Amino acid sequence: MHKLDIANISVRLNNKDLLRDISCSFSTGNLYCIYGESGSGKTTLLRVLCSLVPYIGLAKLDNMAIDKIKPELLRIKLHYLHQEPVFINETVGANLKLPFSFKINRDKVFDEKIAISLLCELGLDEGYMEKRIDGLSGGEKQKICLARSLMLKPEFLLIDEPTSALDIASEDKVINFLLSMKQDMGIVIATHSPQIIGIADEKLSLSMGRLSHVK
Amino acid sequence: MEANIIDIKIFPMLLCYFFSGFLITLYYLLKLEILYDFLVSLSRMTIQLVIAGFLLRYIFEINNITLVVLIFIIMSFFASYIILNKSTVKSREFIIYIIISLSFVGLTVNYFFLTFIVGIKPWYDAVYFIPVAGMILGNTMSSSALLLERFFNDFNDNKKQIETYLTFGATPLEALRPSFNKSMMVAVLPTLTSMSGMGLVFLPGMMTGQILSGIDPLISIKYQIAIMLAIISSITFTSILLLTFAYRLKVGKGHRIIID
Repeated sequence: MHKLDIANISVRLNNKDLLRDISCSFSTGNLYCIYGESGSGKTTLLRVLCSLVPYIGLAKLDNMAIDKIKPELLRIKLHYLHQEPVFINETVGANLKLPFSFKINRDKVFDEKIAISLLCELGLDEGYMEKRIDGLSGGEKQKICLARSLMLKPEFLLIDEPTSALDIASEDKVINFLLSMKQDMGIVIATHSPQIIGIADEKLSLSMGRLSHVK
Repeated sequence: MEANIIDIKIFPMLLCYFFSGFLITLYYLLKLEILYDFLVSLSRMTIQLVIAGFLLRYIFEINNITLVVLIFIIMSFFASYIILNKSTVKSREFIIYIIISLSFVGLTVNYFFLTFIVGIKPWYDAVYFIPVAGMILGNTMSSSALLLERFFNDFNDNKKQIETYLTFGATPLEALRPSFNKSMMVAVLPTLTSMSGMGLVFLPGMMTGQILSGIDPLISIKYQIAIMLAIISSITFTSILLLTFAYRLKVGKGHRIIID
């Protein structure tokens, strides 16, 4: 089991306080949901967890300060998915393989069977591997983005609005899929979706950069 | 062949400017915004070259290492200043890195060319050193301005992609590789294009100058080939150094994209 602890985290950018004195803990085997109005700091909090923004305070992964962990390794362990995924202008298969082209992932093997299995669980058939990414819908791209991240087997998956482009049926499929994946990792989701808020093991409410309550 | 170049007298020189007057009139009648830039550039070129001509006579007479290296440093400084202004670098302090890259590479390539290729002694002979340094610095200056402008623009256009790569565990060099490739292409391509056309489409400036002075074309082509290789080396090494410094303005500690 892995544990991610943050204590007294504050983020100030361009003379604006984005997060104020946030403390909480996350562990693998749980699904966490961060919700709040737009501009409350949900995305900033996710980005702090994987050290994509500078912060004041302490963040530790398994009792080691995250700024002491090699950044390339940290980003695999604490993997962040942007709200609007970015792809290379190639096939879905090439996009799924992309992370394996970086040195930190070279000891991992890209298993096409696992890739296809992940796509199928998300409602996309095997034929998608050869489809070009630019011909796909926003919802399909979100699913492919999720599959791509899961190929890396992170300890924590930090997802920004994973179902914003999905219809209700697809959203259900993705939510059920994430629930099945949580035993192997911690999943932290920033979202407005009532469904995701409803099924989360722990709910963190953010308002104007402050954690107002944790259920 | 005998060295016997024809001097251009004052009146024919003035005729050149008379023809420039046609260009000025055309830009004016067509209300082209380039008119002001043309006037400024024409004035600058005239004044700067006249001053340079008299200065070079003086420098060639004195011909000592201190003066020659000082001239080189001044040339590098002005080239760096032009690069900084032409590219979209916001940080004025970056000029230090441009001066370091340009001077170090320019001086090294110049020294190598004069000592081992031409075999001139001493290597700082002003008659050779300054024109060759000018060609190397001039070409490197143009390519460096293009390089930095392309790099910073490409970075801004592709920030999300770069950050996505960083989230996959890419190092900054891995994440920025597409931007580096595009920037190097922009920096090197004009010189490569020029090299492809030499001898077929046009005779380059150094070769033309030497032929007009009466030098055997078979000697001038050797100089031209050698100087082009020196130029492309200078462009390549300077570009690599500049990108090494430039990316640190954009991706900082913890492999985070720096917010301006």
